[in-house]
Amino acid sequence: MSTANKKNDGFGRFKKKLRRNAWIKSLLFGVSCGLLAAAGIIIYQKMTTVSPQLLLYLPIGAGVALFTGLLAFLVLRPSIKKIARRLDDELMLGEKVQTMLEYQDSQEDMLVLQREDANEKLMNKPLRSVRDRYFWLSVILPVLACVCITTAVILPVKAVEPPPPVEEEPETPFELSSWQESALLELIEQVKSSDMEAAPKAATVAELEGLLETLRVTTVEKEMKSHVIDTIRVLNQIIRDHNSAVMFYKYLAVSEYEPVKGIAMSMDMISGLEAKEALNHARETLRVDDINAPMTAFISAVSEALAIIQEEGLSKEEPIYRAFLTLTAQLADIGAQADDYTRDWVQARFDEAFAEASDEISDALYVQHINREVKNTTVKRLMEIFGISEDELPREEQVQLPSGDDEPDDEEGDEEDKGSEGGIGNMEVLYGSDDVIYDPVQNTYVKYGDVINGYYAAVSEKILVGKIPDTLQEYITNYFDTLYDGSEKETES
Amino acid sequence: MENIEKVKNFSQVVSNIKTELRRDVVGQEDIVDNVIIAIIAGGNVLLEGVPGVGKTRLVRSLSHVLNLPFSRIQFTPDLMPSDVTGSNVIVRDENGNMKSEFRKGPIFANLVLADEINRATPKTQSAMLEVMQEHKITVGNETYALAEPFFVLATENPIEQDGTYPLPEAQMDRFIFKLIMKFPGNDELADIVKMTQITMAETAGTVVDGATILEMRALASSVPVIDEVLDYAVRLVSGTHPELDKTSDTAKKYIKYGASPRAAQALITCAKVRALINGNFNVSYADVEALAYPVLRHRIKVSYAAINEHLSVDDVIGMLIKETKKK
Repeated sequence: MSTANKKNDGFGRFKKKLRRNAWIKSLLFGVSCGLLAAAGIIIYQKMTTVSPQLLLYLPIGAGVALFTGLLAFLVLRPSIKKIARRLDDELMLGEKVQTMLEYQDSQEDMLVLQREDANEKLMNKPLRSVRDRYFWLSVILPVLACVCITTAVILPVKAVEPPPPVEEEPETPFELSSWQESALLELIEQVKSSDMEAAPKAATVAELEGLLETLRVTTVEKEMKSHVIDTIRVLNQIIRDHNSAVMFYKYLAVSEYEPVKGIAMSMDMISGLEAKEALNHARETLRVDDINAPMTAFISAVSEALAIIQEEGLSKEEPIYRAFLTLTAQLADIGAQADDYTRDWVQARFDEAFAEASDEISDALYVQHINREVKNTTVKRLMEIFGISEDELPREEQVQLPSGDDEPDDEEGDEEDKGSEGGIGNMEVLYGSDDVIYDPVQNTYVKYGDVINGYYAAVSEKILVGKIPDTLQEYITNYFDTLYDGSEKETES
Repeated sequence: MENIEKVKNFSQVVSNIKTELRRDVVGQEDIVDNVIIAIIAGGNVLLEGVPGVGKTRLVRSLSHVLNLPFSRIQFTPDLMPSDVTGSNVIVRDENGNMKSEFRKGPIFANLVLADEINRATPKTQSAMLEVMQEHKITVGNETYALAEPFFVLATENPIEQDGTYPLPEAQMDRFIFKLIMKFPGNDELADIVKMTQITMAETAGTVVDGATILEMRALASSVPVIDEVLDYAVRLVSGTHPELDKTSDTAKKYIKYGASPRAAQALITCAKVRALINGNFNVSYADVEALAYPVLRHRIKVSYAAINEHLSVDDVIGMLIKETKKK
């Protein structure tokens, strides 16, 4: 082969040239592609205001260059056979070169002559006679790549306008003026001299005095307003915590029994007059000639509310609580004795119980009304002194009624289950009302729905009048709670 | 080294032959070249042309140049095979006894001119089959070998078709080339007239002899052919067969039947000779393409579609050459 190759020098020089060209063009192509890739990344980064990162475009550019360069070499790299065919075609040698290479090891006379002839023809051809393929591409592409990379480098990073600085409102200085101080002191004195109950009064005065102390060292108006608003929030909370009417409204309002609902509304208004009217309405509802069922419902509703209120921690000595407790106990007692006395006597006792309760509740509500009014006056005065608008005040919390009764989630379901809805305030039909149970009083089997309300009213009376030991009260209450809750759940479902 | 000298002299010898032939034949360069190729390749040639274009003169002049025994057979409808091959005749020997003796016909020559071969009956034409292919004659139980080199140069007139018998395909296949002699141009015609005013006899001198022709044939057979060129020749011939799956639409549409394997053999054999004549020592695509027309034109039969579209055989061959890709 080596001898033959030496003889094929004419071919060898063309082969060398073509392979060298393939290398050079592959290199140029690869480098150009790498530069174009890098330029593309840099331009993209600059256009998108990201600062160019060497760690990103260098390896990518190098990778692209390597990959495309190898790819180009694989495509452009000429094999011996390809070179021979190309030389035959371009130099119009009539397959001399291909024949020479195919029979290069043969020593027959004709083949020796053929090789000599082919070699001579090749030697006579200048190297430039072979067309330089992809010449313009190999020139234009590197130039284009250089232009792109230069452009990418000199291209300025897209200027980003910084966001406009947030102009902070200058803090308005505050200094407690003598007028404000004297007005606040005067307000404190007014509260002290008001008819507000002692406990909320003390708390209100303490809060106002604390505010005064705080404002004396406050230097910014914004902070001043914040302190005043906080104080108003606390004053609202003091009255809300102290005025038990709110609590009575909360638990009486859930009753479905109309007279009780009316009483609840008067509690919400903290109006003694309204309370008297509501109680009078209730009294008229509970007529003597048909006293059992309405009165049981009334007692049940009120007793239920009282039980929950007591669980909330309200003192048994609280006037309204005590008035309702006395009223229910008296009504239960009257009911128990109704058959033994004349109607007039019962009616008189009945009216007397309501009148007594009405007075006590009205008096208690009056006190709480005073508390609220003093608080409202105080808040209003604070707003005037310190320039607080209505919009700046926190919204006063609304009383949240116990869920389930006032906020129906599924109206359709309620409509469908109207016939079997239950609960303490509703004594009409209970879940399982048609079930038959044994009644030890009558010594017979009766419908569960016919007797359950009576049982509950009776046991509630016993609890209210203290005839059932404290240790058992809880069990009994839980029993009926569970019973009624169960019926409620079934109703809801 | 002797062979090398012969190879180098090959084209010179052919050039000398041409020079001598030009003394008797005016124009018709391609025909002369191809006849020389066919003779060196050892093939028979069918010359087609109108009367008077120099077919017979070419062959006669060739016999002078090659210094080979020449005979001419004028084919007529009443020509019998024995008129061509010769026959056994009863003769008396020196003792007066009767004996059968084979009397050689005109075919026993190195260069045979079968003039107007298509005028003979198929029976007589078929007598040429064995001669043309195997260069031997069987008469009775005896087979006689013909002296080498042996060539048959047949002529036929394309115009007068009355009373002619088209050559059977088998016999056509025995001709390595079919050459078409065209009517000479005005200048050539003028030269012919001037030349024949001096003498009607052939004036070409001898250049080579039969032995040299055989040497040249042997030499040409050693010319290398690369696989790509060989494959090209094969694909060109197989591409004339419309019944093959890979054949082009041209062949399917315009060819009724294709060339025999002898066509591929003839292509390569003649291409080698042509290469050497042109001073090349290998066969090229150009050699194959140039010889495709004379090799294929009498071996393929065009379809009615080609006739309808006024396409000649050469037109179809040209289309096939264009369609056959070179590797």
